[in-house]
Amino acid sequence: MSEKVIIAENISKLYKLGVVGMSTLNDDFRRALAKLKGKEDPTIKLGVENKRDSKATDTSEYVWALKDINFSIEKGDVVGIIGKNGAGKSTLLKILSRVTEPTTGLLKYKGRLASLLEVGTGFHPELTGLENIYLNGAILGMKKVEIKSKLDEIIDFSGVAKYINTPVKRYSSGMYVRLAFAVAAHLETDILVIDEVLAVGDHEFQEKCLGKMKDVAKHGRTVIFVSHNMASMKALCKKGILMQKGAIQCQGAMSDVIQQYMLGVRSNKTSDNQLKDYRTISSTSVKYNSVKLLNNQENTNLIFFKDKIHVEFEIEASEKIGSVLLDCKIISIDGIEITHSMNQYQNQKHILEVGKYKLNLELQNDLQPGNYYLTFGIHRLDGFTLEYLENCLSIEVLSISKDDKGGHFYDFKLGYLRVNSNWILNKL
Amino acid sequence: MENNDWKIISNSSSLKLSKIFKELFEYKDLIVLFVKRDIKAIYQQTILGPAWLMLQPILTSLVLVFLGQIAQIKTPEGLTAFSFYLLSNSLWMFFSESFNKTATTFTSNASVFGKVYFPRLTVPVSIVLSNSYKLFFQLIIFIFSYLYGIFILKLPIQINGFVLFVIPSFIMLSLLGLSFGLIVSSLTTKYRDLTMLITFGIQLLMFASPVIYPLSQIPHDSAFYSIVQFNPVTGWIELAKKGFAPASFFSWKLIAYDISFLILSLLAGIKIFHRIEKRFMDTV
Repeated sequence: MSEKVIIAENISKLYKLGVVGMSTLNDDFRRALAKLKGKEDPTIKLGVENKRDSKATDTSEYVWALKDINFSIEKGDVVGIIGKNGAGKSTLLKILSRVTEPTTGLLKYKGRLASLLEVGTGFHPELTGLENIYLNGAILGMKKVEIKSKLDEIIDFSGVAKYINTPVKRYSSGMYVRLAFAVAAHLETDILVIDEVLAVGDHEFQEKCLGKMKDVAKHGRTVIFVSHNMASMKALCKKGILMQKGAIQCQGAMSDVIQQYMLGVRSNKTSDNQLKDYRTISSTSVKYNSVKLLNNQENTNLIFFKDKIHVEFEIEASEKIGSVLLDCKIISIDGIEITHSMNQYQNQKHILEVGKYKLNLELQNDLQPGNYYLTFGIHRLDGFTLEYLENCLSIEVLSISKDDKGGHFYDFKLGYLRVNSNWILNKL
Repeated sequence: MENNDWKIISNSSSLKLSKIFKELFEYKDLIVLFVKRDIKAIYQQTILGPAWLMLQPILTSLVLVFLGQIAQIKTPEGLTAFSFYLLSNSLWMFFSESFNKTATTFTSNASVFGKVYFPRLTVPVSIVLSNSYKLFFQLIIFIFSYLYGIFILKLPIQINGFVLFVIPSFIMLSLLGLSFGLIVSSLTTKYRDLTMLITFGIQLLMFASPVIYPLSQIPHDSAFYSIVQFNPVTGWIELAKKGFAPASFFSWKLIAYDISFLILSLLAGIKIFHRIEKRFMDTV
């Protein structure tokens, strides 16, 4: 089982920023001239580390989207690639799926390789569902006989049997995606490269897709998988690769890699000027000025088992907003949203006028010992999000309770929540 | 299908024609499906459907007959003016459509090419094949028109052995259009300036080809005559007509020139296309 099927050797990919014009023509001439003289490509030296937020003026026009990527994947491995946006995941996938070639380095693979960077690639709106199954299947690398033998399965899986002879332009977007995924799911190759395709369709269909993906993984095929959905990544992949700024930060067992990712992304304390790093949605009308965990005096993020979580915020509103929804999510270290709480659930109403407010939150704590993240949001009553701090507070629930006298199995950790229960035993 | 060799992807993979063709052959099902798609999609939601394939050349030829009358162009013996223009026009359209449509292979398929790998050459090849489907209908009309001239108008029968070269001429013209298209589509992924010139260039090329006039109408000592002979489509157009109208031009020298031109441009086209296909996503 330890036969290697994919080897990446020093893969790097250089991208040119900006638009194509006279300057690119100039660079092309220089490159051609250097090649003629037998010298190294002069533009390669200009490449800088992939950092999106650095100022446009003081950096080079060339960026390394990938730099010296080395890994090998064994036959039957299911490997997940994770990382922040812009870490180079998609570029790596593009090279793996042969859409583009690396600037330097090389990729070797054995057997048939197919990629699903998008479902429904090459679907033609004027053709019927049936015709598109054949077309899409062939684009993905299937033979006609292969598709024919699986046709019933595909139609059955898609659940659009009734519409199979209707042009797909008449399909609802859900039906379209179902059909597209059905074709993709029945692709049988030695190596499969998949990007974010699970994020399609309704919940029921997503479950179905996930189940199918697990099947694929079980059949001893090699699968490479990229997604932001940590829960599905954990469920599907045994091994993981964590990417950061165009390089591999760590690789190994998936659960370790996800922990690395969560720890690397979030620091333990949240100072006021750090809040902007976690702000994924913002508006000019309202924001949190500070977020502070009040559970203990020593400014640590430790919380006793079953001790209520107490958070204090300062809110600044620069406009009259009126009634707002305040919400809080608790997220586990492996990225699963465990629970969600909102002022509306308690029938509480909060109104914001212009000015500063102090907000206190008391959260019931049924969490098992371990590390968690809290996400806070402010929304208008219609659901429009005004402020969103993703995973901005990190907490660690201890395995002892505040008034602990010992003798409890607090360390016995199963799942994420410990709900109270009452057991009554009666002798009959 | 299974093989245990390492396939290597890197910046410096080499080109082997046999490999390219082998891969293309593996994807023959895809080519067939592309052809079907092209044919179906064009005439979707038209009442006349493929009948348009016959109507279009008839209308064009009628216009050309009218223009020819005005310009006092003498069409060669053996064919009615209508049949002459029908044949001329389908020869030219076969070439120019192969050229025109393959010339945008990369830019118009960027969204698909950016998502999945398959031999990119399948697209231009399928375009040429679906063109052949249209040609089939045009040739049927030509045959009817020719028979009408012979039996109803009692034109002298001048059909001869060269008629065997009609189909090969069409094939050569489409290959020539394909190779031009391959070169242009490869050259326009990064700098699109050339696309601005394509329509104009094709039009210019048409005037320099014996399409709306027979080559015999041009004074043999004029500079224009040698320009037309340099044009790599001239030989094929004249060759196809020679089977019906013996007065058409033919020389082995011209055919040899056209064949070598075709082979060179096809090789160059495939080579440059293959080089570009692996990195065009970064620049398109």
